[in-house]
Amino acid sequence: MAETLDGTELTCRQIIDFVQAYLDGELPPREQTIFELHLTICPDCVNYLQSYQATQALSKLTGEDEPTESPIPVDLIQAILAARKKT
Amino acid sequence: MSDSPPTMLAGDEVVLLQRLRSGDDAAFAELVQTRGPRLLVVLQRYLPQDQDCQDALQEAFISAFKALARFQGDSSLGTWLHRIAVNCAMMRIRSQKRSRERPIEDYLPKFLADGHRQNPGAAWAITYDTAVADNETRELVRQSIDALPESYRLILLLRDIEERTTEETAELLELSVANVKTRLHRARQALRELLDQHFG
Repeated sequence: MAETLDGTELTCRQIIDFVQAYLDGELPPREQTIFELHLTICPDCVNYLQSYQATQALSKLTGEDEPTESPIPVDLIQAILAARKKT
Repeated sequence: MSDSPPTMLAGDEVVLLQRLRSGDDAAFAELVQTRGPRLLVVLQRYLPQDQDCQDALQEAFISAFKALARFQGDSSLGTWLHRIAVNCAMMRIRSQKRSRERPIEDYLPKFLADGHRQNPGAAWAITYDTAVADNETRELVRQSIDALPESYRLILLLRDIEERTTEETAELLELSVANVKTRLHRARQALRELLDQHFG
């Protein structure tokens, strides 16, 4: 008899443990199916998944800002250029 | 006949690279003066002490000078220098004794005995577009990243901001690939919890 899967086979805790593997496409097919079934019955886990993805996107965004500049002390510039001469 | 310019370099970078490779002193001074300030800001994200940042900047430029002949132009000069600077910061971090940090478990979601999340909260009231347009949101995210325990913050910076591969991150931090994956997930979870206080 074919196995019947439903979304209650994983707890929310397990779903959250597997979020990264799910997003990276690393879950085996059976676990992926259970994961997605769980999402159909658990709005809290849907919110968690969406906010986890938003966290990744927001982190990436901070790296895309035009970088500010921090003035370099003149003696450091001189030290770098002097060190080049020694190499 | 000269070689054709590498594809990822802007015209002024091609000229600068040619001058650097010919040993033009003024070109080296120009490189340090124009690229150094941004690299110093990058290093300040990784190294809390000013002296460490300055030392790492010097190491980065010296590494870059030595590698000029091998630079293929498959990225912009700025991106190439940025990667070298981050690598130098990582070498410096690896050589330093790590201070005790707050356990990551303190930041992770809490669960009830039945596996449900304690205080699941609401859906986030933020969109990518509002975050792009809002400096305060990005600053809040930056501060939350800075609040993560150091070893987790570094992995998040390398993977999600620098976009280094898992393998590259593992090599830079001398960790296994599996360990990087586990720690990255925890870092993202911890950051999500910190941001949830503001967006949830």
